[in-house]
Amino acid sequence: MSNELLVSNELTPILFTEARRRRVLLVILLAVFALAGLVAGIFWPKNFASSTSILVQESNIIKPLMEGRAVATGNADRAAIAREVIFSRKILDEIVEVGGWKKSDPSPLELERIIDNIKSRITVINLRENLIQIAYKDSDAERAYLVTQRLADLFISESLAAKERESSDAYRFIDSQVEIYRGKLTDAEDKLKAYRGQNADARPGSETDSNTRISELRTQVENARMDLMEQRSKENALVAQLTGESEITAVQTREGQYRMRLAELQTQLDTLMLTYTDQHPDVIRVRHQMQDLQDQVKREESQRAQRTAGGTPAPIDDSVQFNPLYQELRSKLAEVRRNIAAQQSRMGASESLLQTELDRGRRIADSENNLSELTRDYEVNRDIYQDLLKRRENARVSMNLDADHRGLTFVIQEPAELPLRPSGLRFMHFGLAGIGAGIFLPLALLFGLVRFDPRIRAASQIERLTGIPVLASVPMYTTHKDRWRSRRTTVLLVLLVIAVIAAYAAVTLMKLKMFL
Amino acid sequence: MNRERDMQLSDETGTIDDADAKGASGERALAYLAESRALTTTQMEERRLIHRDDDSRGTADAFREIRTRLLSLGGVHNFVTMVTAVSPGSGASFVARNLAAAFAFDEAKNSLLIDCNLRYPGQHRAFGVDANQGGLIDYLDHPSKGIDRVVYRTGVPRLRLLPAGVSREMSGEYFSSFRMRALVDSLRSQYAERYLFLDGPPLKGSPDARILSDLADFIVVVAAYGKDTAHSIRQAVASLDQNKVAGVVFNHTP
Repeated sequence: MSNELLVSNELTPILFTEARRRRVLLVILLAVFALAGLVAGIFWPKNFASSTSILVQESNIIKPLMEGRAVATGNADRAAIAREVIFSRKILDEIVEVGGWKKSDPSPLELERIIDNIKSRITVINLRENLIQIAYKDSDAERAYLVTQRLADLFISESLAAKERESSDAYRFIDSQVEIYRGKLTDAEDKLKAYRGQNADARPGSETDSNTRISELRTQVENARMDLMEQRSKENALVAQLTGESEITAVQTREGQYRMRLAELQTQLDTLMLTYTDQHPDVIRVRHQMQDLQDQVKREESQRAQRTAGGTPAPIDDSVQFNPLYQELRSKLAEVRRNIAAQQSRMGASESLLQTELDRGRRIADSENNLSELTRDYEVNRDIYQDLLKRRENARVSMNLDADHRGLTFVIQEPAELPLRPSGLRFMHFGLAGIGAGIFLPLALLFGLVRFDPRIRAASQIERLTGIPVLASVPMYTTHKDRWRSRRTTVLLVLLVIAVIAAYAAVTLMKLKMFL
Repeated sequence: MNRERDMQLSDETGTIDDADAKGASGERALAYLAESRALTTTQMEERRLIHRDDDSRGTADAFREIRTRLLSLGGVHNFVTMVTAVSPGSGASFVARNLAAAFAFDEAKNSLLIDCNLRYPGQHRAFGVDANQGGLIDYLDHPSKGIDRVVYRTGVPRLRLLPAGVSREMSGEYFSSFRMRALVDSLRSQYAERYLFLDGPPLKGSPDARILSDLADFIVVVAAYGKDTAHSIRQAVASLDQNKVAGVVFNHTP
């Protein structure tokens, strides 16, 4: 197959030959395409597009001021929200009014179709994060402008109203909650008061108080007991000491003094005897003195024997006196005993107090359960109530923000304009496409035919592909009539092309005039 | 040139009728085939025949070229050339007609075109000849009537036409008949300067052309512009006797 294809130097002349042979078809195709383009260009519905862009600013100034106080509505996809708002029946109904579709007094079904149609021609896109573009296409330029403008206005007012409604709803809800909790809190307070009236001990902290008191009393009792024990042991010690001590003390008796003199003299005698004999005058004098003393002792002894026999206890001797230690011990003992008595009475008092306090503690423990339940109720309600109060104030601020349109602001960045030129495919596009297709499609077909049709179109191919000698290549035999007919065809084709060009020129002129 | 032809024509006026009448004595007259009603240039154009004017020079030169090639192949003797197309509608009859005319250009030669396209005979119409005396088939069916009455003048000097006559489906049987062969032989050998041209049926679709080719010395295969593929040409030529195939004529049909 491939060797039946044309070689490149055969291709061009064959292309020309084929083009000449099929010129009628080629030119008719050109004319058909070009005229089709022209007709399509004329009758293609014109589309006027108008668009407006809206900058959405959300609490840009107020936000840092109100940080944490007011809750701003977060929104991720503004275009989606805008689409929801715009495609609401309320807005679309107004658009139908603005666009003048209501004039024909459509039936509900027709109205539905009109609305669907309008919807399909509205596009809402996010240009940037906070920039929404609303575009609308229509066959009527002025209507496109009016509808786009109204769409933007309606979108803004509806969004603001929705925001306002939302925050005032929130405020009202929180307010109602606050009322409910205030009632609950008062209730709990009353209950608590009543219970406390009935139970004197049921006060906050009375258990702690009682515990402190009990431990204090216990310490007192313990201390008293320790003191008592100490005093008792002291008493015992004193009693023991007293028994060991004599009531009176004999400090010096005459007999004693004699005996002491006697002992001294004996010592003197012994010393003298070491150096002297019995005849030494000193020795004799000492012996005499000792004899005297012994005599006196004997007298004294006999006197005492007499006194004892007579039974007189009184001090016989002038030097006899009462023992002072004994006296002191006796006074101390008396003091100790006094203390013991005092301590014992204090201990008794403390113990009775402790008993009272313990009884009170038991009563407190009994009332504690009820009290803690009531207190818990009260505290929980109080916390929630306070929180809600705070929240209500936040909500009030948010509501005021939205009421003043400070939470969300819409700025029309680019207002809708009256479209002067139709958008989309225009006459020129169709015309160019028609002419282009008219020229290139037939040529492409021709090229395809010449390039891929295996039938032989050049004498040189025969020799090259079959090896059979070519005797001659006979040109087409043309008679005068043929030539005349061919010329007439050519002229007609040229006229056809001129007619197409004229049609284009006429339509272009008409269009220009319409714009001027 | 015209003047010369006119002189010839005036000399020869009425000879053919005489020849028909006289039978064998007319042979001499037949040797100088001339036309009592020579065609004008306009008439030639209407019949799509080459002529000596400038208008058809390209076509005429092409046929002269073929003539020269055939003559160089054929040597000194006259010969029978069959013109056949690869496929119908390729203009084989046009080529056969004009090739015969090109031979007839030469005053030393004359040519006889035999329309062997029995199924769709068209040469008599193309020449505007009223074949009321019958044609090839009539002769083969009734040879006793004589050949001379079915050989017609064409209006082109030195070119005669033997039309097909009544059309027949079974042409192959006629071509292979002894009578056909005898006819061709006798026609060729009648005059040494007479060249015979058989306008055969197309090769594609029927074996008639191959059968007919047995009678011919040379075969000219006509391939039309944008009609036949190289494969079909090769196949068509392969079915013929390779020694007889003179070559292919590439015909630009309208």
